[in-house]
This record gives sequence, C-alpha cells and structure tokens, in this order.
Amino acid sequence: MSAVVFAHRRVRSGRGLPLAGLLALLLAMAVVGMASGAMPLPAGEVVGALWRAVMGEAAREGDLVVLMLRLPRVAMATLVGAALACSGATMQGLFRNPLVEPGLIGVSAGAAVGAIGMIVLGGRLLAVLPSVLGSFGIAAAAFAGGLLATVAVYVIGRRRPGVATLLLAGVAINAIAMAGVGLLTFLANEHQLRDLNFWTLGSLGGTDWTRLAAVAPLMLPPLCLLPRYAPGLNALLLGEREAALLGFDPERLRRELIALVALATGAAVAMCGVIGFVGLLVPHVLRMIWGPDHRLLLPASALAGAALLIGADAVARVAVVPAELPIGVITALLGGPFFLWLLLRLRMGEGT
Amino acid sequence: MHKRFSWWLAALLVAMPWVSRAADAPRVVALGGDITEIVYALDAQQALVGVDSTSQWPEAARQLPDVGYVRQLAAEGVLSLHPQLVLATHDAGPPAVLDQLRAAGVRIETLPVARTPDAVVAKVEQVGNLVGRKAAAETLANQLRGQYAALGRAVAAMPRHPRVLFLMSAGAGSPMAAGRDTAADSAIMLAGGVNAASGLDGYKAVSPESLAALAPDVIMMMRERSEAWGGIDGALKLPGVAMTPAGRARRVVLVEGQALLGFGSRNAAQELAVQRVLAAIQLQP
Repeated sequence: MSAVVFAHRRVRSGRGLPLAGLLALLLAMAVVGMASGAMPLPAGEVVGALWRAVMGEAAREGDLVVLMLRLPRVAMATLVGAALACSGATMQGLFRNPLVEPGLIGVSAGAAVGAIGMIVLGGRLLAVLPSVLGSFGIAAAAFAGGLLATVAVYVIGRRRPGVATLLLAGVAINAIAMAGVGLLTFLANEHQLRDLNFWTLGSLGGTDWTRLAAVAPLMLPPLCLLPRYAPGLNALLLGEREAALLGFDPERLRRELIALVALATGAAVAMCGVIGFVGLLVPHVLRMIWGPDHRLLLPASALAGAALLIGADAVARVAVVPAELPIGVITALLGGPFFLWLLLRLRMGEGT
Repeated sequence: MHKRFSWWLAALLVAMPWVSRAADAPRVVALGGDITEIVYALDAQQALVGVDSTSQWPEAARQLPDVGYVRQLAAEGVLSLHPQLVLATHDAGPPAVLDQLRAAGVRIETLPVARTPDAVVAKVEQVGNLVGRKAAAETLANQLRGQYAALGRAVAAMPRHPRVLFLMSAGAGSPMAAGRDTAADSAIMLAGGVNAASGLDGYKAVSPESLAALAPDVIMMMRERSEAWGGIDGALKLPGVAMTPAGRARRVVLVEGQALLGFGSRNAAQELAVQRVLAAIQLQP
C-alpha cells in the first residue's frame, strides 16, 4: 500500500513541469491567434485594444476586430480544442485502443446528421425563425443528433460485457449516420450542399460572444470533470476485471465517461462542425512523450488540443486572405502525414 | 479653338480621378457574380475593393481580392478591405458573419432573387442607385428592356417550343439535370423552350433511362464546364443521350453559364442568343 502511495506521489511531482510547459505553449498560441488575421494589426495594437477594453477607455478603430471577432474565436478554439483532445484521450483509455477518436461513439456523425437534416429538411422552419435563431436551430439539432446517436451506441453496446460490442455498435451507428448524410446530400439543393461543407470540414467562422456563451456551459463541466476519472482510466488499462478488483465499477465508469465525452464533443461539433484529427492525434503524441498515465494525459491533452486548434485556426484565417479555409482541412493536412509517420514508427518499433 | 479644347480636356482628365474620389466613391465589396457584372456594366468598378469567388466575369474582377465563397464569408477578411458598402446577393452568408459586419458599421445591401426580366431591370437600377450611377443604370435598364421586349416578340413568334434539358455536371456519376425552381428552368422558359425536366425539383441526378424518358429535343450545357465532359462529343456519348431526340440529331447547345444563369446585365443578350438557336431548330424537323 505504501509503495502505491509512494509511486503516486512521485508521478505527481513529475507532472507539474509538462503541464506548465503546455500552459505556456497555450498562452503563446493564444497570443499568436490574437495577433493573426486578415486585418493587419500590429501586436501593440492588439494589446492596446485589450487594455482599453479592460480599463474602459474609448475604443479605437481596430479594437472591434480584436474584441468582437478574434477574442471570442480564440476562446472558442481553446474550448473546442480542449474538449476534442481531452475526449479523445478519454475514449482511447476507455477502449484501450489508440486508434479511437471521440467520434467513435457516434457523436460526431450523429451531430452531422442532425445539422444537415435541419439544413435540408428544416428549411421551412428556419425561414420562419429570424436568421440568428436559425443558426442556433441548426446547432441545437446537431447537439440533439449527437446525443441521440451516442445513446443508441451505448444502449446497444452494453448488452454484452466488455468494450468490443460498444466499439462495433459505434462503427455501425457511424455507418448508418453516414448513410443518412449521403441521403440528405442527395436531397439537398446546390446552396444547401455548400452549407453542408461547413459540417463536414468544420470552421470557427461566425463565432461571436453569443455563440461562445451558448456552448461554454456545455463544454466546461465535462472538461473539469474528465481529469477526475484519471485513476479509473488508469485502472481500466490493466483490464476490466483488474479495475473492478481495485474498486472501480467499469460499467459505471463507462456510462459516465461516455456521457461526459458526448456532452463535450456534441457541443463542439454543434458549433464548429466536425474537426478531425485533434481528438486522435493530440493524446497519441502526448502518450508517446510522457507515457499512458491519465492523470497527466487528460489535462495535458486538453491544453495541447487547445493550443493546436488556436494555431490551426490562425492558419485558416491567414492562409487565403481575405477568404478563410475550413479548419478541418488544416488539422487533417497537418494530422494525416504526422499520423502516418507515427504509424510507421510504431511498426518499426514492433519489428525490432 | 481646337487647341483650347484639348487643353480643357487635359485639365478635365487630370481633375477627374480627384473629383470622383472626393465626391461619392464608397469602397464597395460585391458578393455574387451577377452583382459584380452589373457594377462593371455601370462602369462603377473603381469603387470595387473586393469580390467573392463566384465573380469570374469580367477578367478584371478576378484581379481583385477574393473574400471566398459567398455563403461562407469571413468577417475579418471582409473588414480588412475596409468596405463602406457590401452589395450582396440574396443568399450571402452565413447570417452570423453578416451580423458581425453590420455590428462593425458596414452597410450591407442585399439584392433580391431575380429570375424575370422585370427583376433583372430592377436589380440593375438598385445597384445603380447604391453605387451612385443612377444615369448609367437608367441607360442600361432601357437597353435591357428593349432586348427583353424583342425576346418576348421572338418567343411569341415561335410555332413550337422545343423541350430543353439543362445538364449541370457530369463527373463519374449521373449528370445533374435542372428541374423546377432553378435558374436554368427560368432561363429556358424565357428563351422560348420547355424544360424537359420540369417534373424534377431543383438539380437532380438523372439515370440514363430517365434521360431517355425525358426525351429532350435539345441538351443545354455550360460552356465553362463543357471541357470537363469532352465538349459536345463527350455529351453525346453520355449513357442515354443517344436515345433522346437531342442525341439523335446531335443538338447540344453550349451556353455561357454565369452570363445566362446569373440573371445579371448579360442575361438578356444570352437569352436572345439561346432563343435564336431554339428557333433555328424548328427549321429542320
């Protein structure tokens, strides 16, 4: 017992440095994110805008861009990146499979079906609502679709013990949801087709304080709660029976973790569309560097995911000025090759 | 006398850019190929500081900063051009971005959907008012009214109205036909044709069999995209086309897509050209 406690302390003391480093990286990326955009604003001007807002001084010309466009966007990227990466780390731990991403439990595909269904079939409903409410209607449909698909995966998956059925149920529900997306794409008109792009590639465009305020209460609780499950996830790494012997209820763990991940990912996808690779890549890389201890992995993933998404969004905003790239293109463009490299490295490690 | 006149002219030319800049030259961003087209037709392009990705005509418009696809605008990108006025087609968006632009003090004028001669003329006049080219807009509007009136007379004189099928794209899959409630549907009717695919709603993929069943007398395609299909010969080789009257008589018409379907200032001339082709078909039954 004392040995276990000792080991625990020793690991804990080693966690401070990586987390502090990642926090510094996150802050640095936030500065980069605030300083980049289509408007050429020198860094001093950006700091000045924030300063004037905090001190209640009169705003200058560029201040609006910083306060109304960039600041909520960087905040949204932080939340979404943290939610996706932390969810990814949780799911990889829960399924004991490093290839899992948060979308596996159906939440992303379900959200896409919800949103696209609203765009294509809810046209009449949207026409009645004022335009801004309309965009929230789509987000609400996405969120509902994500949760519904997750519940379906969970209800089917728990009929047999172990995670294998859950995993396969996730694959099947994803396939059904993608068929739904395909069918809706067929029904969509040319304009709706263009709107669907947003959901399949993701974008942080159109983020304002209202939208941020709408999703922050949905994403912050899971983000705060998920790291508390680290000991349980660590125990699960040993196997379900071993986790039960250590005093964790695997069934309960699974239920609560899936609920939290669905909440965080569903809210992220509802606002920003499906942004790939963040949830898969970030936990993967961190595990390679610092090992599989979830007490470090979960908070580290959240910080690194946030930093990555802020950076990717900054690239999305400046790459094709004055237009914008979908952020999913950038995360996949960076993530895809990196993942391949990782895969090859792992294979070579096995070979030797 | 002559010398004096040229001196005046030189003075005027020197003063002119200054005058027009000082008077009313708001910085304008045009969103929509039809709107950009009208701005150029009214010779108001000096005011343009940016366009969207659908603004492909005239060539000069492509040199302007491109703010991206009209339905996926980025607020900061548009703001970085410091526009005072944004002329937007009805479907510009997303709404959240338009709200952000309005909040930043940019005047956004949305122009309604135009699929009829009256609406096109109204759109020209509205753009003219907004960019301070009222007189030029009136001249252009009158010219368009004349063209559309001539078109109406020509269509009324047609003894038979051929069935026209507009095919949008053909990748590896089935081509997309323009059904009811599409710009192509309106364009076909205006030029005196009957839309062979009026039973479909919007753009729909058509199988080779339904192509044959639609039995169009003429197949219409966009010249801009015809290269991707291998031109007219490629279209004739599409499965099912050979079984249609259009395929048997090799009647494939290439139209200028944006000019015709954008329903901007170039629409009338295009409609007249299409009408002439459709009318000529009557002569060789």
